[in-house]
Amino acid sequence: MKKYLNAKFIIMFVLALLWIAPLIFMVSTSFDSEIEAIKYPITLIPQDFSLESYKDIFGNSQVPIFTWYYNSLFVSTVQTGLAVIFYSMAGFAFAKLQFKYRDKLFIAIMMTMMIPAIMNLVPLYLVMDKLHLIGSKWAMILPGLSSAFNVFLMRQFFISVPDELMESAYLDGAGYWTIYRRVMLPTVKPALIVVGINTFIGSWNEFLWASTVTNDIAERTLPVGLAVIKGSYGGQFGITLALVIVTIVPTIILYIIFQKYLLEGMNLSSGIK
Amino acid sequence: MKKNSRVGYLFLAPFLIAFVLFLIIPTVTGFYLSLTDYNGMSLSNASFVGLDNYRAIFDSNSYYFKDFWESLIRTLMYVILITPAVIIIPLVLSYVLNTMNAGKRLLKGMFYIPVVLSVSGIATLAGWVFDQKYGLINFVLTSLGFDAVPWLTNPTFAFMAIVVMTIWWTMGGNLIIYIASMQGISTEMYEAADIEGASKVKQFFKITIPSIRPQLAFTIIMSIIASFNIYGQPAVLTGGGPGKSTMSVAMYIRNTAFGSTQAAGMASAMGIFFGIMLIGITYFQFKHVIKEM
Repeated sequence: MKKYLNAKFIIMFVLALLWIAPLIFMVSTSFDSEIEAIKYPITLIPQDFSLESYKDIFGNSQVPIFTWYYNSLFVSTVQTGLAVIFYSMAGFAFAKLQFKYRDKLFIAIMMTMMIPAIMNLVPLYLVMDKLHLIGSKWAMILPGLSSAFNVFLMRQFFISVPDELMESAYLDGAGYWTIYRRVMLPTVKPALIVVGINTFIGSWNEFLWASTVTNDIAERTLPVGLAVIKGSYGGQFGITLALVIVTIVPTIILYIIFQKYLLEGMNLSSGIK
Repeated sequence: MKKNSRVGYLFLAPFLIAFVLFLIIPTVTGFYLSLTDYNGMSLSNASFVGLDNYRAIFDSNSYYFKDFWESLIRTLMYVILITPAVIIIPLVLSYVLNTMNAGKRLLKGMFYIPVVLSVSGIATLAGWVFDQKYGLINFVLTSLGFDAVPWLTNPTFAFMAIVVMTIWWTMGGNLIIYIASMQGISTEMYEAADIEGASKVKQFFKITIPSIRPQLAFTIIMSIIASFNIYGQPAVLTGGGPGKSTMSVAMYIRNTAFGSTQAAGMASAMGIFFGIMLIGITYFQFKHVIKEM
């Protein structure tokens, strides 16, 4: 304990506590009774501990929270699974295979990285409409598989794998698929986790597109459902805050489990010179 | 290994199909739509209007002129207010954190945690934090003897609420990058500076900042892009209000297409105009600003 007892740590710790104070008080207020939640003083420990807010959310048929959970889980899980496969295959091809127009194609793909989502909002909606996917989970899953940035990340990882590893497998008679599957993928496992976690959290939190391609309350994902339903609870802060907590629990858990990879991923993305 | 184009493209195929379908085709379609009066309903009824939509952006008599430019300038204000804060705050924090022996991981985790939340979660939380009557901030202010501030009903305060919320939400990402890059600086440089009697502040500007230039450049560019694309914060917290005082350009474009005007062709033109502007700004930064650093 003694090593923590220095002025610098204490000052920084107080700052950090103030930084997350809104989150701490959000949790405590969500356990207030509905009356206490809209009353000063705001207390750290609920004076009148109550599960009212949570009961209201889970018991209200207007708030299909389990459907939203299912939608969010489905969209994020499927997108993550496909993303890891698609991006690792593309990254492997760009890093380790020789083919016509490889480098030109790579540069062309990288140039699309700067296109902002809002620019393609209307035409992408039209494409989804033509594919009869509006309102379907696939409309939310598929566009997330066209990110140039993830191809770039995966390529960087594959480049760092020594060519000899691949050559020797090739000389042993292994086909390209076997090399990719049995030699390459195990070596770049940390990269797969980084891309996977980033995709999952990005997909779980995605708002602009998901709010555009869903109309029916039962089609929504958690963040969109939360934004839509929050209006009908205007001023009932116990309930809206409990709703926020219910929607963020999975990302917080993922964050705690995969903290190392998440933070590493942030650095990898910035290590580009 | 020998050249084998068939194998290369087979590995590329899954991504390439998604890329063409959901990025290339929409981009090309967007250029076409921007030349039509497409209303979002039926494409066959849309007629070709040439550059009319682009003219409307620059024509002060057009229905869209005022709101579009006001939201664009407002977005620029978001960028100007948010970007320095999400660079400077984490720079200073990580500089201090990197000199600590114990508790660094814990503190880093605490400062980072808002980043993993969704924008609608953050904005819903902010709806309570900034509430005039029952909110957390006004509770602190009134406890200290100040007047309650009408955070969400006054245009200027509402704008500031979104700025503060965005800084709080996104700062941690840059913090992590700075901490890691500062760890890579050799301690010998600081030790030498200590011996020469250079102050910690001077060391920060003379050693730390120059050593992390690439990461600094990266975070500046990414933070500027992110702030230009600000959407969910005003959309969920204020709905762009009060009035239109917090509406960003992304929000205005989306409302033009999917709101009551249903002017999807017009919105495509705005999107392309905004996209090209943003790409131009980013390109300019890469080309000139970054090289100077």
